[in-house]
Amino acid sequence: MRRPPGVLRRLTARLLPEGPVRDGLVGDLDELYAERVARGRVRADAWYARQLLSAAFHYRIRKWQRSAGTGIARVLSECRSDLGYAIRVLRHRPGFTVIVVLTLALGIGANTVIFSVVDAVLLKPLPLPEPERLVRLLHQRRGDETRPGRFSREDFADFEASRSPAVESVAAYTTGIRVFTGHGDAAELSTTYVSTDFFRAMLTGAVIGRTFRPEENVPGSDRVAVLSDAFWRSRFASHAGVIGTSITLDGEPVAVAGVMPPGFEFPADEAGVCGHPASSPIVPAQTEPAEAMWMPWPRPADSQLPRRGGYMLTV
Amino acid sequence: MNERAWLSSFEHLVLATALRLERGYGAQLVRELEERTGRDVQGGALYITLDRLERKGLIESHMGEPDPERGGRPKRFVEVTPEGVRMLAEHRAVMLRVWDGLETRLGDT
Repeated sequence: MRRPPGVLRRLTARLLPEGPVRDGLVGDLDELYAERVARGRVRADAWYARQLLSAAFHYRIRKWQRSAGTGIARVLSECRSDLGYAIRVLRHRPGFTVIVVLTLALGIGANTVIFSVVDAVLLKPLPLPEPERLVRLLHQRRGDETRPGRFSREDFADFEASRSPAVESVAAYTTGIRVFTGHGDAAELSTTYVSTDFFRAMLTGAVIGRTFRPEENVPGSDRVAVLSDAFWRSRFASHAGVIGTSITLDGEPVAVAGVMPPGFEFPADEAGVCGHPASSPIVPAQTEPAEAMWMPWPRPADSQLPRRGGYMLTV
Repeated sequence: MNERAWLSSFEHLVLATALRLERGYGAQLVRELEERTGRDVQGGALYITLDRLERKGLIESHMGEPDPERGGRPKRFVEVTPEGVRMLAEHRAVMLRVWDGLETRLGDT
């Protein structure tokens, strides 16, 4: 008996489900092909190819369409029924509805807050190079162990002078607000005062210009600022010529030394700007990048800056 | 007669042909259907229809012995069940009622 072309025959067998259908149909097609091939090979081959397409259509495509369609229709139908039932119950029991809505609202809100914190504190890496080497130091107040205390600038100077060789660099910062005028509307600007090694401790440099020189971290030479990327873009239209010029803060000229790279925000969150010691200063901000800047925090020889406390970071 | 029990036109043709052959197998059904309808019959369409008729309990099928003439492939033999016969009788009665009085309207076609 003449057999159909081997490729078509194997393909047909492959397309059909294993069992009686495959055995019976392939055998029947072989038998019918043998009758047709006597009347012409080409026509018989074309006939077999049509049979193959028909088998594929009925046993693969149609069955898949039916199963997919049935599954989706069943799911949609169940969803519609459940939704309808829920709406009927809620309409007939308004008190219960209020409790359900409030419970859901509070639950979703609480979960959102918790996830935001977990995401920011645990999941997202710190926006700094080698964050695992960065340590933040606080000290305990005598008689009040619940609230961590700040270091004074003098404490920091002592620590800096006597630091362990295991500590690569040590830096301190404190925060304040300066009034910025001269470019557009006046604005209160978050300003972070930092010690000499601050940018070294952060392992981050200016993307344009430079950060502070050691000689700028002494009283009288500290009228110099490094701008945040957001501040530079919004107030100076990303113009690199701003480096070396003066801006006005609290009515005094301050030289612009450099611009930090996008994403560098320190302290990162609003609580950090306000100087709350319990908050992390380096958790990535969840809001738009803030307009901010950094200025030297020299050791006050004659109390030019308030003798307030600051926080210390070590690497 | 409920809707689920109604036969499609191809099911009707296959069931009637299976009844005529009494214990026919796939290739015989194809030949008989092609001869009586004058149209090509696709093996895939025939087999999927046989599957459906068997699920409805209108036919029974069983596999024969491996046939060397068919490359060792067995034949699928089909028999109409009593329920299938009843369904065909009912179907025919409906068709006759539907066609009653219309023969003259068809002219010489």
